[in-house]
Amino acid sequence: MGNSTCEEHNYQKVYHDNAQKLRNFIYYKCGDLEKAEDIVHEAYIKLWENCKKIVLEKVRAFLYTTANRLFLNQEAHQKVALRFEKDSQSNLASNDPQYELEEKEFKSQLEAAISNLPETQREVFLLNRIDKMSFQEIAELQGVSISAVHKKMYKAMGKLKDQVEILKNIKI
Amino acid sequence: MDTDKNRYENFIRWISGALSKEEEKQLEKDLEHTRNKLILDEVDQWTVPALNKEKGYSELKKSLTDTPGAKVVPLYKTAYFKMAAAFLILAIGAIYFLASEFSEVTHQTAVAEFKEITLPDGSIVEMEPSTTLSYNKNDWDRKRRLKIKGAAYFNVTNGAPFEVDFELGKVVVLGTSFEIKKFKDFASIACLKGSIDVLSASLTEKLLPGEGVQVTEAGKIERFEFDNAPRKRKINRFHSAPLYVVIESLEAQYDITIKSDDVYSREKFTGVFVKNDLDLALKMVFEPMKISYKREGKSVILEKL
Repeated sequence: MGNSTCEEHNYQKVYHDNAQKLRNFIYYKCGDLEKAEDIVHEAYIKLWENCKKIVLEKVRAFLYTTANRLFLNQEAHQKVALRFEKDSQSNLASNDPQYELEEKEFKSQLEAAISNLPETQREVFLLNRIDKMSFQEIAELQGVSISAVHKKMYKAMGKLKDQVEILKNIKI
Repeated sequence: MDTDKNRYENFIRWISGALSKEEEKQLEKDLEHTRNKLILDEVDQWTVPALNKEKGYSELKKSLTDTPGAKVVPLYKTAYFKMAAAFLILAIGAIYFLASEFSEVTHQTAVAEFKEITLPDGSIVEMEPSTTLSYNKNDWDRKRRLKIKGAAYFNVTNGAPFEVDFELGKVVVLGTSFEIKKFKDFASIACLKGSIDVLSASLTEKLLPGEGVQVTEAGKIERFEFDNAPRKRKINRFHSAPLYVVIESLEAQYDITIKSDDVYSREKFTGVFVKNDLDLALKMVFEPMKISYKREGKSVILEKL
């Protein structure tokens, strides 16, 4: 059993371990699930083409850099419109239609506000909350300091609170 | 007292899980914290649609060849992956190529000869006369790097970083169209499309379309701007270039010799000359410079007016 990226069982493992997270990462940038999957597909092809030169330890960095470059090379960016799924089991009184409506409204306002965030703030926010990445990991991914990531998270939260109507009206 | 700094620090500590139970209880009285919590409690329940890995991998396999590391024709399915750079390099000066290696590829054109070559990644280079180009073909997949002396127009495909060494510095392509002129101790780089970084010994300049820099051996760097109309292939364009540079370009283009006193060589020329009519070209260069000249077959002699 060898250590080469060119061996199929290794390459396949790289796919299973990284494709989903990579796709999410690009999805948060472009807001289009299909485009994100296309880019991931291309990145993996480039990995295969270069597999002799990329050791397994460097594979993740290569994939993310390649996918990011493919994303940047796209033609004019369309408006980002992210949508997320949610488990329908809520722990509060979910039989109340009024409450359910408010929940839906809140979610949809949040989705819109998140989509409107500046790209790097959006990335930090979603990578931390949806992909459960630590701020340290995000800092390494974005190539910035951890305090830069903290600031982005704080700014993102500020913008979301500003944009979501329901939050503006909350009183304790 | 809740200053902005406190607010920020508390937020970071809370979100990093660094607050004690008591501190968290304190925060519950805070309106902002309540809002923060509402957002995160909601978003933390969200998921992205799962990627169908089996389907994804089998589609991937269809696109690959059986041989690992083999060159695969990429699936340029959509307009995402546009052709990257196109740029022109003019560089005349000392040759400084690497010692000849087995994998080193060199292309050369003679005076008045034009040649088109294709690089291993599909990039196309149109070489002007009196030009030498070299690169290492083994490295090409990972890092595309060329050395040039002379003039060339590049059409670069997307892929690994693309660099051109023009001795006084180098150009790094970020998906662009640009022009480099490099002479003995003077280089001029003009950006036509996209953006490029010009790295010299002392600093890095970023150029956008319509912007250029001049680099001298003394390390002096000067930015300039120009009218970025669609590139005219039938003319040669100069921005405040020393005259000896223009003279060498004329000589290379038309296979002539221009005899002149050294007194002219440092005067600056801004303008163009055509590439297909020698008499017109000479007029376009020397008339505005108030230099009279005499043409005798393949020789041109300059006299002061």
